[in-house]
Amino acid sequence: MNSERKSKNKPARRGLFYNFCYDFVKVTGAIPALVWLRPKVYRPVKSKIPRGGVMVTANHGTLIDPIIMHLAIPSRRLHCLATKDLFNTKLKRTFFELMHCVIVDKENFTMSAFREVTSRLSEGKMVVIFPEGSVDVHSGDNIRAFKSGAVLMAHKAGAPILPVYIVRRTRWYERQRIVIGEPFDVRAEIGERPSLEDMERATTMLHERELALREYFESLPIYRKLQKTKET
Amino acid sequence: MAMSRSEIKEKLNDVMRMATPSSEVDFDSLPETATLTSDVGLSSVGILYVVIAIEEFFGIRFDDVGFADFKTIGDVIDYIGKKMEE
Repeated sequence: MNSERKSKNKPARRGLFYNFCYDFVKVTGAIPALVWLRPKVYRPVKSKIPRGGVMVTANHGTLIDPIIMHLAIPSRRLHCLATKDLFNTKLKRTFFELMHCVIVDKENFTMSAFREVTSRLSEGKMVVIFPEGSVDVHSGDNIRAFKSGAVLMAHKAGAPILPVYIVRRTRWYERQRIVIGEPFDVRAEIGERPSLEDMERATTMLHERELALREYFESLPIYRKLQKTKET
Repeated sequence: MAMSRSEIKEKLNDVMRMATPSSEVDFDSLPETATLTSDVGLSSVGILYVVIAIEEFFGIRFDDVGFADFKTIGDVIDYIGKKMEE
């Protein structure tokens, strides 16, 4: 057991310089991203995105999903969870730290990563997590089962969860469509002292909300139009 | 305050029961060699949940440990005992 392991997430990364670098990359990167993806956001219920700490969850079918999330919610700085495999060189590590990413080890999720996420949520930051656990480019429209980690962290920090459905593009020139759902208050659903089973129940509810967002998109005329284009 | 190993085990059983109220596992009869994943039936997130509950129950703060650092109930008891002595 390595109890002396040092935290990999340094608190200094959230200084003004980091925010400046983040904003610079976000603004300059947004131009080509907007031209290429031309994102369109759908909101089934016209509720506002909550202020303060929010956990954003989304399906994960492509490697550009974090970029899509930045386009979907441009008004906030997003803190994405990123696997430690992305930090294997000093350059990459510096870049992702500047991008406010939280380093996590999927094989051994540590308490430091857990505390880092909950502290950022408590500080009023918006944290993005893909609860399917990994990217699956072959998943198509399928939304795989969610892991309970997102619910556990949101509950601990007392932050609402904002479910987002990223519509899969089948052609490179297609518009990127995103559906943003209603905020989900975990504590209101399962109480202040939930059991592990309550956490699993809340995770299932979150998954159902994600499926409902997909159903909402599939009920839109644009979905039928896209399906027709695919067939031809 | 130092606790005996059996007291820690008893309190840990309470934490496990709180975590999994509908579990059919008899925590009192589980040996210390019982594994958290296969014998107790905890997932990786489950272990993290138990760690957080232990922090609240025992009033200790875990170092930067991960769920893979604890294989058996004995590992958890060892760790709690060590932290309570500090």
